Amino acid sequence: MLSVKNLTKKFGSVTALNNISLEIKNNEMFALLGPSGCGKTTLLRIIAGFESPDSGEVLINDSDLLSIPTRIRPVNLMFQSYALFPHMDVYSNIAYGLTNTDLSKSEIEKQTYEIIEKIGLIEHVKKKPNQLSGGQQQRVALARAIARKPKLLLLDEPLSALDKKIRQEMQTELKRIQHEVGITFIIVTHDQEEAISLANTIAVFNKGEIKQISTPQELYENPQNEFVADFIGEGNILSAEVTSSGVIHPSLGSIKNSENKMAGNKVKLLIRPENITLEKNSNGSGIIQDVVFAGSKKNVTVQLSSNEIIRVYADKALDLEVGSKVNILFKPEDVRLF
Amino acid sequence: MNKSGGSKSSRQLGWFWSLPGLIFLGVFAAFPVISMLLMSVLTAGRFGGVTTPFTLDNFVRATDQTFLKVILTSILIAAATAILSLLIGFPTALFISRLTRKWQIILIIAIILPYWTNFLVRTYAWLVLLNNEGIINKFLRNIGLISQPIEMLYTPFAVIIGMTYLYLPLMILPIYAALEKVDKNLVEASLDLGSSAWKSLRTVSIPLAMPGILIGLIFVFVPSMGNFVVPELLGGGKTVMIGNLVRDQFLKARDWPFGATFALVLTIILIILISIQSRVSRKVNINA
Amino acid sequence: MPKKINLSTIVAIFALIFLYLPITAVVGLSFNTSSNSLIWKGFGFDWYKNIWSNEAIVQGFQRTLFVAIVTTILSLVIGTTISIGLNKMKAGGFLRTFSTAPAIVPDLVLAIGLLTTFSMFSFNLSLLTVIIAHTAFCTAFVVAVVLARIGLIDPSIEEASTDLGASATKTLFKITIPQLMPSLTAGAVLSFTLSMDEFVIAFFTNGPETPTLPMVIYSMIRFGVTPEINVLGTLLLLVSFVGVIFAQRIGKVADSI
Repeated sequence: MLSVKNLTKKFGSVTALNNISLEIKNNEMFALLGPSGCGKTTLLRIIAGFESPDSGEVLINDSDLLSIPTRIRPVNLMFQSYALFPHMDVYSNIAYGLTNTDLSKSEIEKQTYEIIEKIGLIEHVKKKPNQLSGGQQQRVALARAIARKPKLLLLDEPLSALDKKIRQEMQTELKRIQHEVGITFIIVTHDQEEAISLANTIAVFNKGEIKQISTPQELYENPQNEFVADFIGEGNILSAEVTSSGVIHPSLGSIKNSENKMAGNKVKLLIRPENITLEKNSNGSGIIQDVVFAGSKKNVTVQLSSNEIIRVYADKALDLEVGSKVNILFKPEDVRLF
Repeated sequence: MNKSGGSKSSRQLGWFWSLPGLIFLGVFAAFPVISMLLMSVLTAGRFGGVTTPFTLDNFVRATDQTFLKVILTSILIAAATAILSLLIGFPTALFISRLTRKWQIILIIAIILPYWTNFLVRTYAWLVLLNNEGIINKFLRNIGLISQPIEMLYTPFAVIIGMTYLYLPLMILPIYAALEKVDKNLVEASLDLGSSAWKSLRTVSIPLAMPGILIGLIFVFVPSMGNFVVPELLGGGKTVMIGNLVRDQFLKARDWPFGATFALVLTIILIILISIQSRVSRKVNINA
Repeated sequence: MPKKINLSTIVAIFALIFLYLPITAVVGLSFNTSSNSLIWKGFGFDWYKNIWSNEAIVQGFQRTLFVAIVTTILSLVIGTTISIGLNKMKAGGFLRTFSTAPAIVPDLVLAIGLLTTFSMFSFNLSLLTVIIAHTAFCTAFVVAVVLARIGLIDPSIEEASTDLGASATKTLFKITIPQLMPSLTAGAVLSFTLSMDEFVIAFFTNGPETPTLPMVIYSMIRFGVTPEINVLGTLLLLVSFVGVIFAQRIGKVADSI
């Protein structure tokens, strides 16, 4: 329902968005993920109407979005700081968007109370924002943003200000509300765990470019480049060389050249900590640096003969001593090459 | 999203909002002050006003003995006022900063209250007190300390007292604010490292509060120099300061360029003092 | 913190006595029924009654009140628009200094400057020129007060208002101005008080026929100590007293919002 085509935006000498294109389907929970400064917030603000791109198009249901004035766009934004009106109570905050429509006063009241009940804040209607907890403020911000029934809801770092425990509650809340109201959500976040648990589709950004767009699972299992591999989930990124006989790593030996890389090149390979098995061997190519008990597993840090450090999730029953030598075992299909 | 200068559209909006007001200030504040100060290099017109030629005669004339004496008197009296205010004001500010929050607010209001009254009335009050038949003289005679009234009015002494009275709150407030900002931890650290309370004050609190002290000095010194009411009412016209001179040149002698010369002197002194203050303030903030 | 009697305590007490002795004397003498204030005749409200029949004083007061009210309204509007604008463009030091300079420049310099400018353009001096002059002066103070606070407002709030469909006008009146209320109130009180008490600028920019109250007081003082001034002074003191307490109360109420 949303098409972004060749969007470019520069701020002075900094290119925030470099020829970005993406498609978002109806009713999707779509995430823009990336480190700070990668351009995701800029894209969000362009869609909301607070920035204009230097070039490119944004279409909503095939009609031009950028030519529509900000206040009329069928798009609403939930701000990172919530931006609740401090001098208005919960009711007035949520009703505010509706007061800017042609609805009658009684209709506004009806719809506002419907939403307030939906988010479960009925006892707090008369309170001012500073009298609410962080989680409650967030629900008000969300309610306020969906009150006008926008076609598209933008959420800027929705969970970043919350405690871990409330965060998990809100994740469930967000998904539930999205299902109920049937609005397309675009979430901006720098937290890959958040993106993975919330979104159907994730666009990974870095330095103004999209590195990969996929489902969370795809991104995790088949990252297309080193950046995505490093950014999503835990992974070990190692350097290897392509020779005529295959990809060779100084400590791990020969790796299948799954990407058919050309000989003479250097490559990076990714292998996840849970896909490595350690075996005690006095001639092993790795030396255990550190073992940390982590509840369901042990986090083991191993130094390879190539001087690279890798992390391994080992079985908690395994007896591993710091300083002892180990063999590094893994399945070839668990390795990714870039 | 932090961009200095804001986005292009918000900058345009900003100009849209502020331009009318800025033009108003430009026309009725900036232009009048600057054009008047520039008159110091012009010549007085025959029936008032100014004409060309451009000349530096006014500055030469200002160095004449009589006028230099006025400038010097102004500087001395303003300095005396500032120093007296500092001597009274600093300990007072220190005292207030050591009180509990509730008492600090009460005392600050008590200090500000007289300041919010009409300054003519406050100057007049000293006429009452210092008069030969006034309260102080009456009191001293009643207790037999003196037999003849002391001539306190119409002396430089009266002018200094009068001006100190007017501007003392302006000395206390910035010093108090600066002392409050000094991290109490620093003072405690100093005491912990063996310095006495006096030494801690001298080496930690005062240097860090220096920007506030300088602001207080400026707030007292500059208005004192430009004041013409107090020298006239309490000094009886015997103490002539820059303010009186400027007023006479503009209203009586109608020699605008010459009057502007002294207004310029006053403004230059202000600018010098402000730049000293901001330099010290920057140094303190970098080191703190 | 234990209150020790030391040097700063003594000086502080002296300072308070110093600040209040003169005005206490004036207040006390205002009740003196004698026409020679310095000789005590008896306690009474005689001169309080007499003062209302003094034409010069009553008219001076009315003019001063009129000037103060108009000045306050104008300087609030001008000062707030400047502040909103400077904040939106994230203005640097020059514009900020420019807008607050009239408050820092010696009032004598500003007064003379306006005198010469009005004269140059053959603009007759009257209450109108006083209003213009006072507005220029007070606007700088309003900018100082409002600009400080406006920078603390979360800019997202105005964006949120626009995002939710409000026009720029609605955002201004429903969102921005309510946020600024404490500063606007402080600015208004400041403006009003400064204008009511202001003498130097009024002295140079007023016409001869329409003296403001401070100018009336000035001419009276030049003749020495009189009962009228004692009463007037006491009344003005009372007004200031009430004003400061009032402003404090508003400040407290505003802070709790």
